[in-house]
Amino acid sequence: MTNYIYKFDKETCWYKNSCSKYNTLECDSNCLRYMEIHYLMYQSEIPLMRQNPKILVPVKEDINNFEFLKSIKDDIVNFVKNGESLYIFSENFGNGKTTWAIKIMLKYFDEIWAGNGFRCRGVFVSVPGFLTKLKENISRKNETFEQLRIKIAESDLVVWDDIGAVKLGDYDHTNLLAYVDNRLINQKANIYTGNLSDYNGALSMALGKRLASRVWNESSQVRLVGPDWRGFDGSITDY
Amino acid sequence: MVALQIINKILSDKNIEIYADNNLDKDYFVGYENEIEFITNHHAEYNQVPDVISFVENFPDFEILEVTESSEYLIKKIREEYLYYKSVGVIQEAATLLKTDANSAVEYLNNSIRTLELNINNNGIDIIQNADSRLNLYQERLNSKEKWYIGTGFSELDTILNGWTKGEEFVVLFARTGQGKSWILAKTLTNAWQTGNRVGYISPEMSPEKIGYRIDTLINHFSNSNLVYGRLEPEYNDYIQDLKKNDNPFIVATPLDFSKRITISKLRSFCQKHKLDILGIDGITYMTDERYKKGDNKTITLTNISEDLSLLSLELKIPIIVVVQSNRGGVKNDDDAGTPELENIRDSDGIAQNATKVLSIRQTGAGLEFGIKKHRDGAMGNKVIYYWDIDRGEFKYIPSTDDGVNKEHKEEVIKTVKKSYNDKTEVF
Repeated sequence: MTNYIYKFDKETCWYKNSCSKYNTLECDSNCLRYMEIHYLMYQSEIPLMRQNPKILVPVKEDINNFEFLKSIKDDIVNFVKNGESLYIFSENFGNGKTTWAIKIMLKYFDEIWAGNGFRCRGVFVSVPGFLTKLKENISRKNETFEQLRIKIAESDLVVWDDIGAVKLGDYDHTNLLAYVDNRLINQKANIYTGNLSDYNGALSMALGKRLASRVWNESSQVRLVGPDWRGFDGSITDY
Repeated sequence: MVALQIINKILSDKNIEIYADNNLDKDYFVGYENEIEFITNHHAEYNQVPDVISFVENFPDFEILEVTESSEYLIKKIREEYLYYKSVGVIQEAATLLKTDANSAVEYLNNSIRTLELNINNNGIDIIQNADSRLNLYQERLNSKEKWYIGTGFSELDTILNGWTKGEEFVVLFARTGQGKSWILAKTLTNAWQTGNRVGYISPEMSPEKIGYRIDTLINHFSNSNLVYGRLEPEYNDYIQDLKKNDNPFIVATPLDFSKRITISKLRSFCQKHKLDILGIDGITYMTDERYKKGDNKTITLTNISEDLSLLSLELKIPIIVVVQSNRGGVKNDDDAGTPELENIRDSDGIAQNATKVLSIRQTGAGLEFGIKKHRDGAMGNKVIYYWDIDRGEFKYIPSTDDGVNKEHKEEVIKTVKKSYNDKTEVF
């Protein structure tokens, strides 16, 4: 991104409530963690309102799934190092798929910020929006989109959010397959989220068999069953 | 006469070594250019010197003599004659210039005389028989590093570059505008001054006062904007009084100090007058090429200047650091694409060719990245990033797992930094 500007604001610091340096003399624009996380967040394109950790509450049936996702989160550095992929899906909406994917990515940032040296390490891609931009870019080259393409190819971890939300046309399929394939070949980690569960049915229909096979067969899969939690404002666990 | 003797010697000895081994060319054989050319061409074609008969056939008026003088004498004599012919031209030109402008005449003379001298001292050094001098130098460097190197002011960068070498060091700092080249030059010169060196700073764009405020900021971390805009900096007065107690100078000169023409000859005088240990030039394009010939383009001019600066460093045995602007190609849109490359040095490849070290600079994230694009005595392609508080003149190393800094040092920094936060709870 060309227009990145570093700006320190301790009140919006992600670590405000836990950092031992908060509000001390050391809490200033010289804070190495703040500057690295600020850069990682900016480059990741995670929507601003989702950049702070959100607490999730599992229904009983999802406790094991949450435990599994937590285990991936806790070992995210190795997950990335090994070039692994994860598909988080659910037939229901608003039960934490995207939140989990972002939580895992944020945890990765939290692990690698020291020694990062202002590199983009993870990107959040909303697949429907990405496909729209991809088409727009045919007729009018967009510099920001070109940068996003590079980031997708080079970042350690990409979250492909809402994959399969729209049925892919030939052009979409060819392109999305190329991006995903390229990452898999280069052993780069991915987290997909979506609502399609049936590999042979809906998923293959929406993504096409080749892409569906990559998303499904080359990933660990987690199926969340909880209801829509959007609007819930409480916490009873620390996931 | 000596040219005639040498040609006769070549013909009688049937050996061209006296000509070839002493780097002579036809310009040395005034009045006998065609004769010597005939011999060299014949030798090149038939691998032997022409015999007297063939030679006289082509040059019937040539006087055949018996030559008993030693080769050493003949060489010394022909060089002296050659120098005489060349000097006459130079002195005549200087005399003409003297009539209108003594400064130009002396400047011309300074530069031209150096060229004349180079022509009589081209024997080189036998590095095998003189190996001891190299050993002595190595041992001196081993035992007293500070005598031979000046730190860059960035300790992590020094672990890669080993600082600036005193002598035979022509450094190029390049970047697009607004990336901080001049500040970096000021920072490295400030560090040189702080370690006791005598420093020269050629500032074509900024006044000595403005440079002075920058140096004050770099030394004592005063707010630069407060100094420039006259806002309160309580300790500034005391600092200035202390500063004056230092003996080593930090000389800032502008084009006005060089009659608006910054030439190599003038820089030589400037360095010698102030007995400088290091020289920084904030913009190579502000310099005037003394070797300029009608029709030379900017590329040739800058190549000449950089070559002369490199030789000046060798001659004075001081590091010379110049700031150069990169061209538009040096703007990398992708933040991960790195610093500008050598081909992005504006107007000239020759600048990088003559440099011993080339560092490109760019702002990235909240930091400033140095890319090591050329390093004559070490690895290239490394990078180092610093956080830079421009107003306070503070630089802080930002470790990056892919930078060129020593791995143990880097890992130690990463560990220490991470530990220093000591979070009360897990955040993510």
